[in-house]
Amino acid sequence: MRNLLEFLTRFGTFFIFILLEALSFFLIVRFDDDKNRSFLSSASAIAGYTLKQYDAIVDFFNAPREMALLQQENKQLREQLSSAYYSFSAPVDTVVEWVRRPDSVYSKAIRQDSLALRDTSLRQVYTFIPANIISSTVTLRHNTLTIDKGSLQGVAPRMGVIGPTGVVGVVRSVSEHYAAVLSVLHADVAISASIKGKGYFGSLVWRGSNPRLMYLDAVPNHSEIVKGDTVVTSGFSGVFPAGILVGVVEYAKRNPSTNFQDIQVRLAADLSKVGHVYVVQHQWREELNQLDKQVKSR
Amino acid sequence: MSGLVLINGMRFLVLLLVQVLIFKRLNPGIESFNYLQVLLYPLFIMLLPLRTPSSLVLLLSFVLGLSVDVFYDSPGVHAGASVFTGFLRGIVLHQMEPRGGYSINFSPTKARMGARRFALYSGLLLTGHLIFYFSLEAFSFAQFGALALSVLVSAVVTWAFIQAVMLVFNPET
Repeated sequence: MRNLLEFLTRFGTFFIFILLEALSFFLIVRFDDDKNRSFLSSASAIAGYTLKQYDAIVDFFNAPREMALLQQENKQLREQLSSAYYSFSAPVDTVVEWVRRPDSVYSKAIRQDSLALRDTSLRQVYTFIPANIISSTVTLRHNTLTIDKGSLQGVAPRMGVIGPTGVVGVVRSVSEHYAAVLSVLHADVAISASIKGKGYFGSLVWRGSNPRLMYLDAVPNHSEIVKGDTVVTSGFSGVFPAGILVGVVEYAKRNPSTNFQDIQVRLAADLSKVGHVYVVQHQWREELNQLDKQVKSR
Repeated sequence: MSGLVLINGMRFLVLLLVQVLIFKRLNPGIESFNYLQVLLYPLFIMLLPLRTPSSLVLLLSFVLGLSVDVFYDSPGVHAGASVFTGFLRGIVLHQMEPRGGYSINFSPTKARMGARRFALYSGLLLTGHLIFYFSLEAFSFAQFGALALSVLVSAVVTWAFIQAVMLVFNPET
């Protein structure tokens, strides 16, 4: 016993050092597994409150730029209203076709026709929860955002977050009033994306360094992709609706060694300048998640 | 004694808030040059009085790091780096001990150490902190070049900030 005490006083500091480092490593590794925790995240009550109070001050200076951005988005949405179109043909009901082929130009035109008809066979699947970003980073390797809406407003982990100019991130953890969001500029985030009008799809990831450039992986070599192609969300996972803008292909080259193309995508959204976002809510989310679990448990 | 606790408590809070509210937002805005992180909060660990028990230094470092982590959404990363800095502090202070030894009430500040010695002291601790931090953040040494560049750029800028803060406030303890 005396020996143990002597040992502790002599090596106590080193012992505590090792202990605390071990605890830190444990937190780093474990946090990646447990995505539903808001404790120890910026969504926790104290952190969220502090960030929000400070953001209220900063917001004052960003308001004019924010408003221009929202107005631009409103313009685009107004131009998509059925009343902004003149219909030449009798509308056709092709909802099934639209669901199957979300990205082709052809199906989009028909979708607008059927909307004009107020087709009763259409159901609203996606709803949006407006939220403010109260804190964000773009300069780290694991970038996150904090938004001022939480479980009370219906935000839940794994929901998508979009901004006026495109995809922003995916919710990781929520508290009652706040949510911590993984930015698309986060090493652990991959988003299912497709090339607009061409139908090829792949996985969009970020590899650090440049906050405006992402990589589109797993697009096979035989696909025809050129610089300037528009990249949109595929809508496969129910996290984002299909056709939400992601960015533009900046560089595409076939890679014979992997059978997949090397594609660089320039993000449409400058994530350091986005202030107001929408959380994407899928009405049948539970159902989708359950199917997902069943497939994964096999 | 209670004065020391109060001063360090305030320092803890102010440095934490400055870090997570101001420096977390800092974005030089230069595309494809994403290497700069200004981490001012280790200054708290540097300035703790010499007679603080070393285990308490480690514990305070851990708490400070974890508090920063909460705001950065990176549990364990800043905490691990801070604990390392707290440990490094003892070694560096021991190595830099003047011939006559430290006085009992010594605090490792610019006013007590002198500008040159403090510059060296803060530079060493800061570099250690940043190496540990960037390694933990990437969680691999694969991109060694990027890591080294991040440490270098961030160390120089943060070091300049620390010297500026000491120049303005110049605390005795």
